[in-house]
Amino acid sequence: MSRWSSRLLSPAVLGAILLAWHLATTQGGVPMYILPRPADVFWFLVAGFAQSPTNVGGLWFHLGVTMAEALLGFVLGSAAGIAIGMALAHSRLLERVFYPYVIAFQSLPKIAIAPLLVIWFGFGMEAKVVVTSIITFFPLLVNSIAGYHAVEPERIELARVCNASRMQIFWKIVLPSSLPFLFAGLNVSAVLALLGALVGEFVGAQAGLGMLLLQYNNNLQVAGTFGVLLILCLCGYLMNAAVRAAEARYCFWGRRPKLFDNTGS
Amino acid sequence: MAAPLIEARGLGMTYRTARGDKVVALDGLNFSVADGEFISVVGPSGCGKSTLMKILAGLLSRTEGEISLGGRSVSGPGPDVGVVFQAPVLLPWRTILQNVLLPTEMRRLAAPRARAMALLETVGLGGFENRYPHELSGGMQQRASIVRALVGDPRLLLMDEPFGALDAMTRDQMNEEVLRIWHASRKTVVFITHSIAEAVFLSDRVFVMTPRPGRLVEIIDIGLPRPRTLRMVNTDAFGAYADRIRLLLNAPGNVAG
Repeated sequence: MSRWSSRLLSPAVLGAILLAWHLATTQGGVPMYILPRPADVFWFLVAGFAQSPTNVGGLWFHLGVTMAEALLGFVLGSAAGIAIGMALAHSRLLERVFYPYVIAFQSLPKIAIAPLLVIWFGFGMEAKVVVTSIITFFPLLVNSIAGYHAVEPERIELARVCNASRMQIFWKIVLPSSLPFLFAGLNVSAVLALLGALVGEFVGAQAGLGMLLLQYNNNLQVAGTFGVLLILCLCGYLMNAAVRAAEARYCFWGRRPKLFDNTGS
Repeated sequence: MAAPLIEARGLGMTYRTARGDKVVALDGLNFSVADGEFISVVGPSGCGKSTLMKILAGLLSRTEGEISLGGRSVSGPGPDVGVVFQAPVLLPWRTILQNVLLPTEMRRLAAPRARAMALLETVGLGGFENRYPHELSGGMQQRASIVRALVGDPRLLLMDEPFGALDAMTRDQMNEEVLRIWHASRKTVVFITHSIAEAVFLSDRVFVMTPRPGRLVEIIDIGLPRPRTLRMVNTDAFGAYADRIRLLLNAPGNVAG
């Protein structure tokens, strides 16, 4: 197959699905509360995004809330995961003492503690940021420890021959050497961050795409549900693309190690 | 004669294993190396030559005896020693120039850019300074690591089986290159290898070591004229030196039981 026709194939599939969807809802007799018409979803999105970002009735506002929760949680959780992971890996004793607990806590589905966090932190954004931080913390923790131990001993030896200080060894050798592992963790965390924010909102929230989703679902406004799902799809894709772009920029030399996946959430 | 650059007296190294057993890696080494000399250390694996390298580099502390460099007792790594490892150990996120300048950067010295560029030029890496290591062949990477070892202008260049991973033809080229660099810079070189031919070809003197425990059994003066060429490898004189070393390494008393 020529390059041109294979490139057209993907949009063609989308077109076919949209057409089938449209026909099913207009001609096929599928009721509106089960499957909205593609046009309804489109106009829902247009109307929602036409509102000002400060308008609680518009989509920008809720998108902003959810993304703020997800991004803040992602940054805090990842940074803590890297810092604590590196510290644990640096000290054999710390690692031996704490690693069993890390594994134990990692095995816990983090979503299960979301209701508790709402009691502790309330219905505002704080609880969602905390859930997201905890969920994104573990992939980075585990990958930091793995990355630290994967640093070639020869590189440390080279640094020692050059009279490098411990700080220099960390910043100029260990941290950059672990980047392929850290990015493997960040890739997982970027997806989990959105999940964390949504789950937090499901448990109890006053704003956000997760809250909207529940609301539309309860009112059988399926066009709204589909619209929010589309937005979430795009957000997840963009966050993942951002991490991959950062990886291509800062870790261009790294061959991707085996992914240390942590989806136990 | 001037004072030797390196002097070892009763140098020994005993490791303790995790089970508490003692392993003697080096036992009673006595030698001295003059400034500007090219020394090779040959021996089978386990003869302690890597341990000797690490002690000279200041990465390991001896357990017995004394070793001095430039009149001062060796107590840790220092700017007087440049090390070329078995692998090039270039950092993949740094360009060749940034890699080569690592030692002075770690020591917080002004970057000797001009010197680095000149050295890269002499090893045939002119124009590659802004490339990344993965864009270079294995031989080129090892050349860059030699430049890195030389950039701080050390008095001693330590080379730990630097060409073991290269194919035979590249290895021959690199050996000629090392001699060229040595002639031009007049550094003292301690070259560790398990290739008898390489040791004879390069050296003023060859230190022959045997394992368990690591002992220096003989020091052989190589009287071959300089500059040396690869054609000398086929001469009788070369073969005689190589034979003598081979006999020492295979002597019944020196074979581990």
